[in-house]
Amino acid sequence: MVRRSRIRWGWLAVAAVPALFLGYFFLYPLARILALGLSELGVGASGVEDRLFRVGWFTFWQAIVSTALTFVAAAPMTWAVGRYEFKGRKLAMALVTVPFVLPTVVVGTAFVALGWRDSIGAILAAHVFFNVAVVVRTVGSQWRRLDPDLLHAAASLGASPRQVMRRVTLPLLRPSLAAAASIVFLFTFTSFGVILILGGYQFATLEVEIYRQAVVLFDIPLAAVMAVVQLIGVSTALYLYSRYQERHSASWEVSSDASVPLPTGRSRLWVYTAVAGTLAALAVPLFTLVRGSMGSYRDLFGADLVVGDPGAAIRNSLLTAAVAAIVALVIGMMAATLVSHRSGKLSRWFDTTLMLPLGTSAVAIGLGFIVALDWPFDLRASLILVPMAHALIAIPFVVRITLPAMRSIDPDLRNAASTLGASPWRVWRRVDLPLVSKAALVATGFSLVISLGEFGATSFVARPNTATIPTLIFRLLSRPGQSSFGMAMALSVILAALTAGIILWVDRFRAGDIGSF
Amino acid sequence: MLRVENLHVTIEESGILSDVDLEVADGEIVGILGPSGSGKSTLLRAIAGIIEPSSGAIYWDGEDITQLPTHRRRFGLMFQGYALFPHLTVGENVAFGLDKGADRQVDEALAWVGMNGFSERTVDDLSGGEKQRVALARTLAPRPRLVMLDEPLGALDRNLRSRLVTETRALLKDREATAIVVTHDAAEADAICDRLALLRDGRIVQTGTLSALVASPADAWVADFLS
Repeated sequence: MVRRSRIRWGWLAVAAVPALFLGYFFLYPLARILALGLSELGVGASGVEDRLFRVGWFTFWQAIVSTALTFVAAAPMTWAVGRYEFKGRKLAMALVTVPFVLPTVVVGTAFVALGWRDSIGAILAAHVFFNVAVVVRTVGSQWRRLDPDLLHAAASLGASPRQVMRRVTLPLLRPSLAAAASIVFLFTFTSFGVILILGGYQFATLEVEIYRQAVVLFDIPLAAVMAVVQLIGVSTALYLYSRYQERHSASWEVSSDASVPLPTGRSRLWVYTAVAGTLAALAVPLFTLVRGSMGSYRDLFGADLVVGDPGAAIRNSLLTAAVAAIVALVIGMMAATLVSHRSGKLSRWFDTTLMLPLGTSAVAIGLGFIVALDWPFDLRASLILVPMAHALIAIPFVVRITLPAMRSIDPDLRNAASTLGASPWRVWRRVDLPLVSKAALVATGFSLVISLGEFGATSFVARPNTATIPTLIFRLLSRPGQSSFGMAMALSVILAALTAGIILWVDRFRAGDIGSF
Repeated sequence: MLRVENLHVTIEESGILSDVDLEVADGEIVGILGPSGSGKSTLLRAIAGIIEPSSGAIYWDGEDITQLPTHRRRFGLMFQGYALFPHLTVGENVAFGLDKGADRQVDEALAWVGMNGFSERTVDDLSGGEKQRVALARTLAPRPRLVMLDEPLGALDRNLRSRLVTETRALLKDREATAIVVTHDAAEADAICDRLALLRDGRIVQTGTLSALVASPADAWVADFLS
């Protein structure tokens, strides 16, 4: 006979594993950075504040300008896909998302291939390239659900198309405009790989400067100070955004798809021009990358490389991704099970804490590992660090993907299983697990993609002999010579192909649009 | 005066309206009556310029306005779901079609529908009947040359409907409005309108007053529909 108290102990055990993982690999390192950074703040050598201010200011304004430019670039296609239904719309949406799922080192390499290195223009262009999809998808999907009669009503009251846009459409799209702006700002504020590759230390953001201080100059305390500044900036942005969302949570949408069929004549031409033009512009860097990589594939696996063995890096990346995905899946699904089954304080605290790694920069996570993980054992040279860092970054995605599936299970299915004599464990295995298996596969795919492309945290914790594909690409890019650059491009194409392959595989299981980033 | 001539509307290769002829004299209220799916709303949208007809023409006082964009027609349309702007207050909704600083006209329009004092309220807080009144005030406020009401009482309960039927007619007649009212309820149409047009499968099958239609229905379907 199973007693009730035993079941409660069971839930506690389910809670303990994710709690210990997050505590040790996330909260504890973060606390160590905060302690170190705050104790160093103010005792720094002269000129440090100056540099900190300059880097902080650059980080801020490049993020603002990147966000603004992304909106300008995304506007035509957002209008086309938000307002109209047309043949090939779904394909266009899939294609516009490709840059967003590409690893940052691949995007960086593609822009180097365009010959745009070492300039602020290259950084801004790469940020726009990367984030256009965020605006098109977030704003476009809300636009599609706007009641078209609101626009017709405005026109019948005498508003010209321009006035309808200004007085009705844009105000109604404000929630998604704000959401997209926050996401793009956050991504560009914490951008690392793109800036390190395209700007170097000359255009350092806080992330790049943290990396330079910690990994190149070994000034860990100063890096911690910068990480604190960075965390304050990010959490302020996240806080303001969540406050805004709370105040404007009114749902102004009709639930069904309200886009209209494509009209004939001039507007049809505009729609196709907007979509084709955007996609063509996005294709240019990728096309240049693929063309540049031709002829370098043989070098990749032939010659003896000083910087590392590409074959080993690929094997290492795949192994790391597999371990990270398994860890993220087990821990993320344990947490999601807990959050979906229990409604207490503990469960709500879990729900929030689990999302924190998403708002924390990968560089801060990497720095936290090398600052803090010398206790109780010195793990800093251990092989598990890289997969653990990747798992930590993937867990919020696993939770966000599997939680809705778990919540949508009718509780009476579980109750029925219980009345048929199934223990809680058996209920989970026979009812929950089969019903969330699709979501779990999608989560696995996302975890693999995140791990394969992860560069920020990896650049801190990977050893030279355990390079992953992204860190090897970066090392190849740092070396002079056309042959190194060719190999960097070839390796980037391989990484992009792996990523795309997994996304395509996962896409088969996606019912509708998960839509969240 | 509105004249619709030989109007055809095709959406995604299926005919919604075919060969519709309709005239509405100045100050006249014409009811479009028909079962759901007969094309009533489509007809209003075509007259408003929201839907482009595939052929035929629409005239106002003899001028061909078929190609005139919606916002230049000065035809007011009250939508079936009201289409009140959720980001604006009641007063701002009513002011939408007016020039800036037209506060007095807003108050006046709200007074017509008995909604004085609601100006600062948000649209979400309103009941169904209140929304209907605000939508009506918003449609009438810019003094459109043609007023079109799409199922104006459709979503309301029976008690409210019978009261608003009289009010709506009085309101339109006081303004000497030229109007088209769409409904699927024969008694309601008769109480609001001067004359009815029966729409079936996108064609106008008969026009006249309700008593005339009942007295001599054009075919068995008309007799059946009105009984």
